[in-house]
Amino acid sequence: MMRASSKSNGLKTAAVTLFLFMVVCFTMLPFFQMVVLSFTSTLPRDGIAQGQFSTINFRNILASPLLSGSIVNSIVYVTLNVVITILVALPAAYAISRYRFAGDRHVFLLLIAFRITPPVVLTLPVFILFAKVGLVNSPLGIALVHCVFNIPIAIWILESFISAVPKELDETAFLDGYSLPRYFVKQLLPLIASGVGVTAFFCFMFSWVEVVFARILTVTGGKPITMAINTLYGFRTDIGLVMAMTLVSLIPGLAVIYFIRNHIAKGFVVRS
Amino acid sequence: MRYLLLNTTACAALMLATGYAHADMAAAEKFLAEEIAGLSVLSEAEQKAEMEFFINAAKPFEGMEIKVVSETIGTHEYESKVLAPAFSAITGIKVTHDLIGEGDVVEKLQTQMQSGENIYDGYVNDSDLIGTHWRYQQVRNLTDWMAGEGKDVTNPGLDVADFIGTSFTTAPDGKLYQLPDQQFANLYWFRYDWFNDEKNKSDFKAKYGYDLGVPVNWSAYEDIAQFFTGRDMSHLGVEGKVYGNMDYGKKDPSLGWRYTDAWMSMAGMGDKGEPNGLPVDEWGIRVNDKSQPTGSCVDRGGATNDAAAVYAVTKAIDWLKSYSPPEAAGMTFGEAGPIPAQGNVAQQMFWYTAFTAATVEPGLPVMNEDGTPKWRMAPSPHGAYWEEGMKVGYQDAGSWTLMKSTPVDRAQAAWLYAQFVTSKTVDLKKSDVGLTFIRESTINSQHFTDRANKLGGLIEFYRSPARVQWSPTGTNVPDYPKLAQLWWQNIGDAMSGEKTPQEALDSLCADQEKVLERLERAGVQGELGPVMNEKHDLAYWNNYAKEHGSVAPRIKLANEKPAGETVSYDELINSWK
Amino acid sequence: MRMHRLDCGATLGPEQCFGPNLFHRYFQVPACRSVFQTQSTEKTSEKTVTLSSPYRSEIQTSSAWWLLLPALSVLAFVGVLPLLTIFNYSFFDIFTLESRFWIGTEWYREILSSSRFFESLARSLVFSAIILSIQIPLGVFIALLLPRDGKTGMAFLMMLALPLMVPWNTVPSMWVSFLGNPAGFGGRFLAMFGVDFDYKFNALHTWILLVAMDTWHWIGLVVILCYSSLSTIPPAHYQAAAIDGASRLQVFRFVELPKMSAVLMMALLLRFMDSFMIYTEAFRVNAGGPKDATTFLSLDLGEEIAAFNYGPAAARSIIYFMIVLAIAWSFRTIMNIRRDQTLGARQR
Repeated sequence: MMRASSKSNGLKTAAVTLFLFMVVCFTMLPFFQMVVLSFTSTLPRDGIAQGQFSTINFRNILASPLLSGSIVNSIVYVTLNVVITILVALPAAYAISRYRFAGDRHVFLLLIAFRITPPVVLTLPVFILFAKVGLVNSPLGIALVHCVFNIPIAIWILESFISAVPKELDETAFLDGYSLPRYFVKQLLPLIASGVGVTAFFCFMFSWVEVVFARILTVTGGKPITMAINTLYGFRTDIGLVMAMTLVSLIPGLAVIYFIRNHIAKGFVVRS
Repeated sequence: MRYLLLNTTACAALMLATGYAHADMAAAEKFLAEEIAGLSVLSEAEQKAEMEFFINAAKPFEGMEIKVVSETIGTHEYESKVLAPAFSAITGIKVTHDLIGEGDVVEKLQTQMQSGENIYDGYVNDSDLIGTHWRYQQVRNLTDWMAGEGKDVTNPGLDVADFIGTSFTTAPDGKLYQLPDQQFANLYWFRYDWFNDEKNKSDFKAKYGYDLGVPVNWSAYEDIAQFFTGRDMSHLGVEGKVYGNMDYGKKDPSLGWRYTDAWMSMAGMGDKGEPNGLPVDEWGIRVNDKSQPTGSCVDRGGATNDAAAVYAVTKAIDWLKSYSPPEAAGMTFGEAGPIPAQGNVAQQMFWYTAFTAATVEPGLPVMNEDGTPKWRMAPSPHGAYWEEGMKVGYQDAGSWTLMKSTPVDRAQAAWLYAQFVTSKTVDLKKSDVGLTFIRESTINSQHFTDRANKLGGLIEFYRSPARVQWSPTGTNVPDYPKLAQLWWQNIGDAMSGEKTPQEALDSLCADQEKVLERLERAGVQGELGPVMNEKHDLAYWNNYAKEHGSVAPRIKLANEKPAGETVSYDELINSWK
Repeated sequence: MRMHRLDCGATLGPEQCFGPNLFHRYFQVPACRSVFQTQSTEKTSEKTVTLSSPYRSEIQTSSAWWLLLPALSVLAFVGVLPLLTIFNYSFFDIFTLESRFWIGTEWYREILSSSRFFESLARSLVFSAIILSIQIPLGVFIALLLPRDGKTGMAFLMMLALPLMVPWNTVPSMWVSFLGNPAGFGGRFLAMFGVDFDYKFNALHTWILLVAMDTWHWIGLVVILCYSSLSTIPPAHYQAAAIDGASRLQVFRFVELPKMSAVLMMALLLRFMDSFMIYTEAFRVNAGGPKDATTFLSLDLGEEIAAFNYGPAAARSIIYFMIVLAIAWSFRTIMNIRRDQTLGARQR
């Protein structure tokens, strides 16, 4: 009896392992291809045969101010976006979590509506609006626009975390003489630190890879990575360079994933 | 060419590093000595004088930072990486020359037009938009500009008459709207070595009854394509399957210009007239004598869906299916470009000379060891409907465009840069690098006489009287971006077999007319905008044309495949001398 | 020690009942009203607080709006303003922004009466349905299989999160290179089995490619969300279930699924919207081909914008927005109904 169940257990674990292995393959193989291509010279060049192993793509990235500058631009605007979003979403999430007020039910629908708006819809008016206030070609412009779909998500997630903290804590604090901001910073924030981490991750993720707004708002300067890659597609696309650039663009992403891994793995609850 | 570029970039960088802080003659002299190095149609003294003009004219703008944009062909890369830094060092005006995709340039231009915001100070924009620019009046016309606000910054040595492409950038009002910066044509490409091979020649003559040579008409092209596809060429050392045609067919924006770049007029659709058919051009759009567009479909006097147009599309699709590599149907323009250079294609009907530099790289299967190419370019064959006097092919003329929404001082600075990169001092060297031509003096120079035999017939073409029959899209097209968009979507349906060519073209002309009608209704282009004709049948319009001395729209020919005609390449070249 | 006592009868520890919050209010669930009991031993003053209502009193509602102000003003500036502009544009024929021509609802009529629109809509719905039916169960399945603690689980999550970080315009390039034959590994692999994977001319293959690409790209999101909520389930629950002799399926239904229901809803909504409006990836693979087989809603929109046809593009955008709102609304209604049912059942 014992043998049979341990045998079926063994089979089960084997099956699970095999399945997970296939998942790993499925996920990593295109990346493997990408890495191989990024170390290949895919256009005929002097001295390097087409298809030969070479680090020329990475050297080209370093040599090109557009490409290497775009990495800086991306990091700047994404950081700005994450900061703005969290700063703005925290009070909003608190309000929604703790208060009941007229219209609170509809705030949710409103937020969702913003998240699901197709970006391409807003391109021209956003461009004109931002041009008038001088936000074109600036990382701040992209950071602000990405708030449209990051703020709803941030509020959604943060609200759940805040709701996980009992209201009683608030009340005790207020009774003890804390003002709202002081309580927020000193007591609430440490408790929801995990939530802030997770929110930062999602905001980073959606903002880092966005193409549509990044394109319309950076014409002659401030181009982020997605746009720098876009310029590489043309008459004769150098696929090796495109892949190398993608590889480089993954590094900050990897860093963020690494830093946030604990918060995500530890678990968070989105409340319903 | 890449080596050349690398070298010159290094020079420019050095120069930039050493003499950038202020404009001066020393930087100019360095540039002339190291970069131009005598490769110019001007003497050294004349070059210096021209540089002096630029330095003096730029004084009020010293320190200004301007941005200009163009597409990414070799010529522009040279301008951006070498000429722009040189200009900055010489004049003190800091120029950033952005290189972006062709479609993106139009998009940025449109965005500036639509929003009134100054995005770029100068655009190198295809002169296909001449009709658009002239009618929307959002662009500074250069004739008035050079006499007025731009007077102090116009180079006395500019010599507009020396430019070979100004007829493309002049509107019906007689004013110049754009200044050409680079030009390349769409020609017929073929394997000269294969056509001269005795065995090929005798086999061809035996099968078809006439000599193998440069095809003059589409019947001959088709016969040659049929002859070479699948032919065993091992006697010439060719491995793998050989094809008699190369093309592309993926439903992608690049499919649009495959057809609007004069394919239809090569077939014989439209009317006679240079640079574009009048009253019906190669888009099938008819204009009245006030240059107002009046229709696109046959029932309004246009030719977009007439028999010649159907013939043009049908033939292209047939040849793509029967005589081209199978992957070609799924390729975009960029992907299909390098294929002939790989050595298994006998001829290509629709080949841009912008690919010359890439196809003369040493070591390619299509190059001889002594550096001469195994291939040649020649005038494109014309279709069954074509008649003498009609446009034969397409020429791209990327030209400097200054928008009215750019502030005057910035436009002046950009104009200085534009003149610098097209000046007689610089032009020969620039053409040597990018193999695009805009000036008569450059084309006729000794340097290119010497280099001609390594360029597969490019110089011979540009020196020939034939070149005027190659032109960009003309003024009949009132809104290029909106109309161009319709072509790839509709032709794409025909390519995929979803619609027959006739159905696809019917749909295309209906879409075009919708745009024309919207323009008419909104009155946005004023006196220059469309005024739609009444509908009549084909017979009516065909007669109308005959009465007024034109030919479009056409009635279907009984015989769309007349006897094939060819001409020997060498005789053709000699006839031009 | 502070305990909540719910007047629905049960007594739960702090981590199990967090009091009413946004979702409860939104979905109109009569939330368990918690009665606050305190047994504070630190304070001996008369500060005994009895709250009959778990909410702050109504006099504080105005400050709620103050807290919301920053978020709402950002959204108003970058979201509402442009949307209103779009709405305005949709009634004009626009050549340049100065020269607009009023045409009323003509664009709307034209779009809504074109068969192409309904075909694209149908295709988008089918595509989203396929995507959801694959990604949600698959994501849950993977999340369940991953080891809950330790380095392996974390490593897996990191790996699955990687595709989320790829710029969207490169995702199709990566896959096209991967499947290219002979240069790509995937292409060569398939060729070994004699499969001629032709995503340019074969509609089925193109769909398969798009679904595979989208799954590859986004499965990480679903897995991360599910995994995270699963991680909050205390081992005690599993032990209790084991003691009760629950089968694996029952454990899933009664212990795990309830925890995950909220994240699943979030994942469902996000994935539905993003797949419904897919643009960049679909365009770069085959520009809506072959023969319109992959022309989804947003492709038409993208083409109009590229042609600078702002009038029709604006009208189309408003229509899409309405569709999307309608779907979000129906989500809400369905969730409401389900919630009322389950709560009703529980109360009986």
